Formats: sequence, C-alpha cells, structure tokens
Amino acid sequence: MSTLVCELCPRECEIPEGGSGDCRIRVNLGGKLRATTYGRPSAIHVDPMEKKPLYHFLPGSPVFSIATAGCNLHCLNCQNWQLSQRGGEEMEQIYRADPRELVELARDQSCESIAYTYSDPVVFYEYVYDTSEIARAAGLHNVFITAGYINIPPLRRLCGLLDATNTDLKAFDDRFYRETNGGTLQPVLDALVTFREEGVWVEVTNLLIPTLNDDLAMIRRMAKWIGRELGTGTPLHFSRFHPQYRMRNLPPTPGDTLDRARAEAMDAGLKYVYVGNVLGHEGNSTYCPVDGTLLIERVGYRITEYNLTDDGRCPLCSEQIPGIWQ
Amino acid sequence: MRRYFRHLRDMQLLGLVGVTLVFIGFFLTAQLQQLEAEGSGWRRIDLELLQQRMESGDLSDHEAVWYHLKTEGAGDVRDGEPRR
Repeated sequence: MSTLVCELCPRECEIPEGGSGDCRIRVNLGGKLRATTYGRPSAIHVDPMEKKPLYHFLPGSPVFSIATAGCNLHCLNCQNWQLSQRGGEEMEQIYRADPRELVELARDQSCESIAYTYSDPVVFYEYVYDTSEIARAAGLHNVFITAGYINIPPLRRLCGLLDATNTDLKAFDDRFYRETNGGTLQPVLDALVTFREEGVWVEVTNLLIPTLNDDLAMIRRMAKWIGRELGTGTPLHFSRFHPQYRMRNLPPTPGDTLDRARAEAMDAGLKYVYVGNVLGHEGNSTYCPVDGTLLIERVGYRITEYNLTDDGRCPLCSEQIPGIWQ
Repeated sequence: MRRYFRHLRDMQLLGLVGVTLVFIGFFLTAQLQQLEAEGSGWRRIDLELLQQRMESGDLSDHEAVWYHLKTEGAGDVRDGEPRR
C-alpha cells in the first residue's frame, strides 16, 4: 500500500491508497495521485471583471469564469459550499472541457480573460496551469481568484502564467483562520508576497464578519501590512458578510462597520479601499487619492462613469493610478 | 399489580435511555472517525462511485503534479519540481 504526500498546499496531506486529500478531489489511485476534476468543471459563467472583484484590472470587461468541485479550506461561511465542500463524484453537474476547448469557449464568448474562481483554483492546479499556458499563447489573460492557501514552489511556477489575482485575506489573525476556515494565516501572507514578487497584479478582499474579524485594531494591522509588503496602491475590498452555510447565527455586516473599516484602512495609508456587496455605496467607486476626483463610478458590477485617461491617469492632476487598464 | 406496572414503566424508561445512549455513542464515534481522517490530512471517499464516474468519463484520471511517495524510514524525497 503506497501512501502519497501531496505537496501542493500547506496541508501536505498524506494520502493512503483509495483516499483523497483534504480537498476531496486529489485521489491516490494505484499509487499515483489523480486530479479527478481535470477538464471537468462544474461551474462555467461569463461574469464582469468587477464581480471577482478586480477593480484595477481591465474594468468592465467580461471574464470567462470556471471552477471545479473541491477546496482546501472549509470556511463556515462559505458562499459556494455546494461546489467547494464536495468531491467530484458527488456533483450532479459536470461539464467536459479540456484546456484547449475552454480557451476556445472563452474566445467564442468574446472574453479577454479566463478566471479560475468560485471554489479555490489551488485544488485544480493542473487544469489551471495547462489552460493558462494555452490561454496566454492565444492572447488571453489569466485571473486567479483564491484564498492563497498554497505552497510557494507550485505557486511560483504558476505565477509566470498569471496576470492578476484577487486573494481573500480572511482575517489578520491565525486563530480566526484555524477556527473559521480550517487553515492558517502565514501561508496566505507568503502567497500574497509571492504574487507581488512575481509581478502578478494583486487585489485583496477581506470579508467582514460581525464580532469575529471586524476589530478595528486588527484591520489597521492588516492594512499596515498590505501597505508595507504589497504597496499602498494595492486595492483592498471590504466585503459584506451574509449568513449562510454553517454560520447562520450572525447578522449581515452593518453598513457602518464597513464604513469604519474603510476609513481605518485609508487612515493606515492604503489609497484604494472599496466596499463590496452593498449596492450604490460610494466605496464601490474609484477616486483619485490626490485630488479626490471621481475616476470610475460603479453601481453594483456596472460601470456608470469612466473618467480615467487611456494610460490610467487622473484627468485633472495626471496622478498615475496603479492597475492594468487596457 | 400497581407495583408491577410501575416496575414495567421503569424498565421501559431505562430501555429508552439505553437505546438513546447507544445512538449517541454511534454518532460520536462516527464523528470522531471523520475528524481523525480530516485531521491527518486525508478523507475517505466513495471509491466505488468515483470509479463509476471515472469510467463514464464524468471525472478524469489525469495524473496530478506536486506529490511524492512517502517512504518509510528514509524520510520524504523532495526536489521542488513537479512530477508527472
């Protein structure tokens, strides 16, 4: 009986024959590790880039978005638990699309980018890697929407094919990660730094859950860390929590909690701090950090006003706004 | 007669408590086994169903990268490169 050690994520699961990793989809069959959802996505949609959310990366463009079953975290508040907390064999809906077909589908839908998203693309790494290679050769962008719970060598290898990431930093607290997500904080911080070192455009999302990770002192520490390690121009998205899955006992995040978090992060030095999941909030829009000019107005995922110059500058003061705009 | 029925009711109650305790015991044992598997970083899966769905083409047998064989005594071998 051969036991395999998966090196992909910090769990480093030791998988006996016939078992799967903690992610449910990497299975030891006959002494070889099988990526059982390779070429078998369970979710395929065309979304606006703003839904990822990526606000400083090709704004308003459609992005071909895919996911397979499985995840290497187990968040009590998971929004996609029907997809992420199940193995491939448990899924009713499975499409068949090898990497080349996926790229063709994306082009048929007039998408400039492919997003690996919804569950966590870390666990379907091989599918992401092979698709990204073909997409890059075809002139498409690759977008990685992740919780960043991955070991550094595989991540570094993948980064050469990625254009942008939105990485979910769930809290700046290891205990929160252990109790709410079934993971640990440090590997996520290491992944974020690796993305920056490898030249991948980085945006960060932090979902604020009342009483669990909405402490302003912790938010300040997180913002300071982002400013120091990733740069003060890194967009940070505070997202509103809605009770679901195994966390139905807490209320949705109050609006003033999101406002206070945004103010705290901006006070700590971050220039682009957004509020998500709240329709019509002023924190959905992008403003010039120098003169406060409204640069991109968003309502939900829709862009209602766009004032940036072609090269991504403020039209009044010419401040360069960091991002990939075209 | 009354004492006999009271005794019978006591026995029924005791039986009910016993059955409940057995159920709780089974539930806790199953949960602990599940936690034990999760804590050690792997999961038991429905292998028969998995193989059926692989044979039908719903799932893939594509070989993963980034893994190695756990070798007893010699320690784990790593070279930092994925292997197919």
